[in-house]
Amino acid sequence: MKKFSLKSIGLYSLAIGGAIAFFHFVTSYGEANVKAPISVSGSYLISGQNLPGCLHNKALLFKIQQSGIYLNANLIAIDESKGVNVPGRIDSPRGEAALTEKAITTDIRPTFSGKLNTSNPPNKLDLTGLIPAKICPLPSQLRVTGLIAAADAPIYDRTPQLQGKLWLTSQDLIPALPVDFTGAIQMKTPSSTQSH
Amino acid sequence: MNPVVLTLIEVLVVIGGSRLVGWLFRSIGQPLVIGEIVAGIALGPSLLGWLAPDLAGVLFPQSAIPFLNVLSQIGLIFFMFLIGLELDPKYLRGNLKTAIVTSGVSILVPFSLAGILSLLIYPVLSNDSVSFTAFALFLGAAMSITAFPVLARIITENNLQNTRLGTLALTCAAVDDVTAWCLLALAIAVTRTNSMIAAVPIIIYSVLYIVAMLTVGRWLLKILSTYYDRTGKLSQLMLAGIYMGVVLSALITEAIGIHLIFGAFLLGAAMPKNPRLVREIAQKTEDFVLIFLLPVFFAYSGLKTQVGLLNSPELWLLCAAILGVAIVGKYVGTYYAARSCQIGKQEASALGWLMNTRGLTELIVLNIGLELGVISPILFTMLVIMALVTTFMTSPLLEWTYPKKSIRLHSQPDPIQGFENAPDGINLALQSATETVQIPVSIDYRILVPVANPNTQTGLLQLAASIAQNDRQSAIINPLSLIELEKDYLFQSTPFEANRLIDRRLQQLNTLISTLEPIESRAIFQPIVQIGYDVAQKTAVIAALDRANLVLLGWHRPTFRNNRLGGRVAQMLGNTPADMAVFIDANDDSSISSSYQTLLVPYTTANEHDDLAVEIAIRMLSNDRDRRLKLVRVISPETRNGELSAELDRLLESLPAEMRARITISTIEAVDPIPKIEEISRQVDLTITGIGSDWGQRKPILDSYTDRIAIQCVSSLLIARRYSQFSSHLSFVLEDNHRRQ
Repeated sequence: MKKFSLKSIGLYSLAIGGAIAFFHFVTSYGEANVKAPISVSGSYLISGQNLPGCLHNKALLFKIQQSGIYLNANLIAIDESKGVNVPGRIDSPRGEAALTEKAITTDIRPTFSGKLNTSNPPNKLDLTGLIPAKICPLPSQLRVTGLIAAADAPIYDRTPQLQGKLWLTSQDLIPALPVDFTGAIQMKTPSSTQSH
Repeated sequence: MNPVVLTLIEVLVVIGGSRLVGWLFRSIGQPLVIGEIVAGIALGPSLLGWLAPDLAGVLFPQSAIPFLNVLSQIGLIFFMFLIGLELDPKYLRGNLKTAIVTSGVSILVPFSLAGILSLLIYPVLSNDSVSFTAFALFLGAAMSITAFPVLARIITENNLQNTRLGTLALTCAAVDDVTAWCLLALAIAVTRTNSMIAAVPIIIYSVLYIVAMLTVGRWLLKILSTYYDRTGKLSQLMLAGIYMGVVLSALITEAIGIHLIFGAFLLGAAMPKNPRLVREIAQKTEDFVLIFLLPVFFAYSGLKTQVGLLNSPELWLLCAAILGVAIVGKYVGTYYAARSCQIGKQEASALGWLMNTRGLTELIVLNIGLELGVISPILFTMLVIMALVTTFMTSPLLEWTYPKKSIRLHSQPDPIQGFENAPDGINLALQSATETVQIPVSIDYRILVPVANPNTQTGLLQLAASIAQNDRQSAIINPLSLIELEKDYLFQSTPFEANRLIDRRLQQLNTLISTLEPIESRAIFQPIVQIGYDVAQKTAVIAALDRANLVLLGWHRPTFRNNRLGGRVAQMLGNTPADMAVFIDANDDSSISSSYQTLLVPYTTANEHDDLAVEIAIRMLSNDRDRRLKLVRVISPETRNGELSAELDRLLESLPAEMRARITISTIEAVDPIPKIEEISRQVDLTITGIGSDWGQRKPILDSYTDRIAIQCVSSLLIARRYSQFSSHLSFVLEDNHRRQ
């Protein structure tokens, strides 16, 4: 094996040092100047008393999956008789049991997609998608817009609330007056901040 | 449904699917592991969930996913142990200085580019629960990965393990592997603490644990290795101890705050590389892990890969940007680093593509990133696509930049005995550690002999020697033996293990050659042993590369087929770009050699194949003064009154009188000549005939004449098929004539 000369070692050190310095510069700049959108992923419980059409009187779980500003979601009907803790942030096994039982056939592919605004106004989400046939037998489209409240709280204590409007478009409905709703987060999607 | 029953059904589907898709990918020349990853993705929301959401929901409900997760994590732990076990310091022997520069730059460039890319991606694909530093570190680690295990198998499958390119790539990948795992451990530590400063204790504990494993751990494992050498077997108790060590080490690294996989990897890497012990541990562990558990990991990853999430052009553009940065970073970094170390352009380019392989190592990194929340679902999907594309492109790009024929020019083999002083030698890397040979340009005649089973091919090699050996012309016979590795991700596919198998086969061939008579004929044999799966295709490639004058193939009579020369023989007859002869040994005991003193050529169909048969026979005559030839002209409705072709006539006339005296030409007239040929064949040692005139005109490609003669000929039979327009078998006769004139 060839021996490494001092010159080689110096060059390697320079290259590694340069890369570390460059990385340090990039991360310092990134930490100071590049902001990611707030974390909104989780399952939001939407009370169904005021909801229109086929959603009326149904307790719904709006499960948002976030990839930065890109949002995808599922709408899941839950059986409140099986016990879901409402409202507030809940990590209870009861809540999870109710979710998983009902999520069985609807949780694989998100049927809603949309975006999260980072400005004008900030933290406003807008998602559109089809309602699963198990909730609304007739083909129905739902648009959900809303603002994430409690976004200013520190990340670890944040319990976002979703306040906004729903537009339901369906064959059996005269389109489409928006209905106000409030969604309280039930479970956050596991992430480093929670699991470790 | 009972979760255990459901999980078992899922496993059933996963294993079946991964085998099926893996086989499909193998059939297009891609590594099996790519197929298995694709199968996992296909079972998830990207395909099954899209085509049949209800079925996907029933088969893979959320409630069963934790069970799959547990299985996949166990699989991953033991797979990482196997990777560590495979990481042999011997890989670091070749070109270490070049490898360190190349692998260092091949990590630094994509890592730095990933830092810049993070500035673009972080605001759109991450969220504020992940710090920018953790995100950039993770993306950098993901971009810098080279999949050592996949690369090692691609190198083995391409028979590159003993070339300079192969050894350099393996060394670079081994260095890359260790560096990338360290980088990943750092990224995990920073992600879990969300800051570089807070990660310092984790980093210190990790370093201490690594030092402990490489000292105390290695010392304990050496005791185990010594005990194994003494007892000569790996008992269940020892294996239980090793497995417990794997799990314990995994738990310690998890407790430190990096990840389970590192402990398992570390134990494998610290294991003394006692070849027998390592082989036995690997063989006992890998089947269950690779067949059962790893596909579950792929399926689990596939369930989280949602190609459907990339639902807008801007997302596909981001995906393309990630792919571009990954490829450019790795390729350009590797290429220029290798060039700066005086590696040639072609090799540097091939090395760049090899280092770009990310394979399932990337998948492991990505799953950890997703699990920690540092990678979002869309970014996960983009990076999975990147991993697949970069691995998929490796084999074709390697062949494109560094075609197999380049191996001849770039390897630096040791000369074999007898050819050290050959003038104008050209190097021919014949793909094994010991049989890389130097063939002099002055070699005039080459026979390639595919050998299926070295224990039963004495007759075939003896015949090859009878055809080749000539005192007026230099000749070489290359017995070609292919080692068909399991088309799996097994330990035997690793370069060192493949070399061990090659050496063993080579030894078998040399033993076979050492039994051949006369002794001087043994010197012209130069075995070629390669890793390969398709003997027909490989023979065709090597015949073209080596410019073989004749490919001599042995044939075993199929029991249940009427088509005597069907299957692989027919395939080779159809595809091999060289003159070819199929040998059917009449001797049941093919280990008995024969000197073939009397030859018969029935000139039946008067086509170019019959001419080749005569040429081979005359060549054999010229090689042995006691040999005699019966040339039988057959007059039948199919022939031109049994007339020899004009070329053949001229050739016979030009032969020396002594040789002509040993040729008896007779004529038979028959509507069906085969019974007469059968009768004459009783009196000779070898019948040589051209393949029938309607060969290749119908499917199956062989003709009734050849089929019938193969059945009815009593002596050993050689069926000749002409490919080359120009005769090369008797060039020395023509030269003699020229001299005489």
